[in-house]
Amino acid sequence: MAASRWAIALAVAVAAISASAVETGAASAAEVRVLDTSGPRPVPCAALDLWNPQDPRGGCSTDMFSGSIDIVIRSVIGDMLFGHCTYEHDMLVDARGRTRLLNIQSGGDNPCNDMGVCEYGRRRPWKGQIEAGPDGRLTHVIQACLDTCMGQFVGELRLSLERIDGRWIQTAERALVGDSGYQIDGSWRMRNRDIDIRPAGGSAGGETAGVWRLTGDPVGWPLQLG
Amino acid sequence: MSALRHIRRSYRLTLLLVVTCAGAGVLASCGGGSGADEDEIRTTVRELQRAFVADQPGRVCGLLSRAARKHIRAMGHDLNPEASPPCDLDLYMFTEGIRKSPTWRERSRRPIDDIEIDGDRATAAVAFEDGRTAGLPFVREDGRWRVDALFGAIPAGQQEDNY
Repeated sequence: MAASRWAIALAVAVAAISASAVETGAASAAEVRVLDTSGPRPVPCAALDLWNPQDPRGGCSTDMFSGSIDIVIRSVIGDMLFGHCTYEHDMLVDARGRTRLLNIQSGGDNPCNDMGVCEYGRRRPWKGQIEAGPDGRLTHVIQACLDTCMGQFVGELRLSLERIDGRWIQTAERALVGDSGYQIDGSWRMRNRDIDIRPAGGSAGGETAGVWRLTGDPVGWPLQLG
Repeated sequence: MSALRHIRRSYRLTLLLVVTCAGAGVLASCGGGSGADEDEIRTTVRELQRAFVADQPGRVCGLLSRAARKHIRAMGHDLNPEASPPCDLDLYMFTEGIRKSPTWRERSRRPIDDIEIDGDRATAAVAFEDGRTAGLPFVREDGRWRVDALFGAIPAGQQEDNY
């Protein structure tokens, strides 16, 4: 009887180990720490106030603006350049890298102006999370929802985030919005330079990964690491 | 001797449990669709691609869901759906438009990698040449699987009516 119990326990353990192995493989990203460096001493960004999901507040505030971004719609019958678009949005980020993207505006070619922001039928700010990979590289993972004249494109959008010449830049390299066929190629610049983002618990800076490619920006950036 | 037999029985039980767990995992990852459903969806995709290349909008419309046919109007920015021409004319106008675009690249042989079926809804993973995939939504209407959106991940019937 004891052996039967042992056998069941072993089977359960095998199943548990298999499940945990899958989870470990999926969740290799690490948390980040985000600091407000605008004052004399860096302090963690404030928590986000999400009491009203339509109108989040708090956190460190910034805005991001893009150059010309190529949007290509890919489908089962072919691909088409939707437009050379520009995007701007405000962004709130808390100390653990949780973000909300607000006031997303698009411009550029004619179809770009036909683009709206959605969230499964409800208009809300996009949710996001900045994470660090095992190599220290930062990724901004956004739950995007775009409403266009050709259809709605929904899903996870992964943008690399790095600091270049003292300014945070997030880049999409032919990134797809989920599995929707909406492909984005371009980058955004962050206007606010007084934010420090780094992997939590890692050695300061993560210089080995080339994330902190700082070339010097003495104004408003007291935490240069590179 | 009795203890040895007991251990053997326990070993068999362990093996049975592990095999059962593994089998359940495989079934769960299959998404629960039958082979016939998957065959029909793959055939529908091939028909859609052939009809598009052959410039037969009527045939394409016949493979679309009611919501997708209605959504074709939005692509043409028709603000009066009641006065809209039928799907094949809408689709003809839309197709003419995209084919005139110098950036349009017809890719009518893209295969289906994988199919997930959940009741009367399904998503086929269309494989691109660079190894990435996009979801093509399907809905079962009148006993047949129909394409529920030509573009985009959201089935046409669930999209916001903004146009």
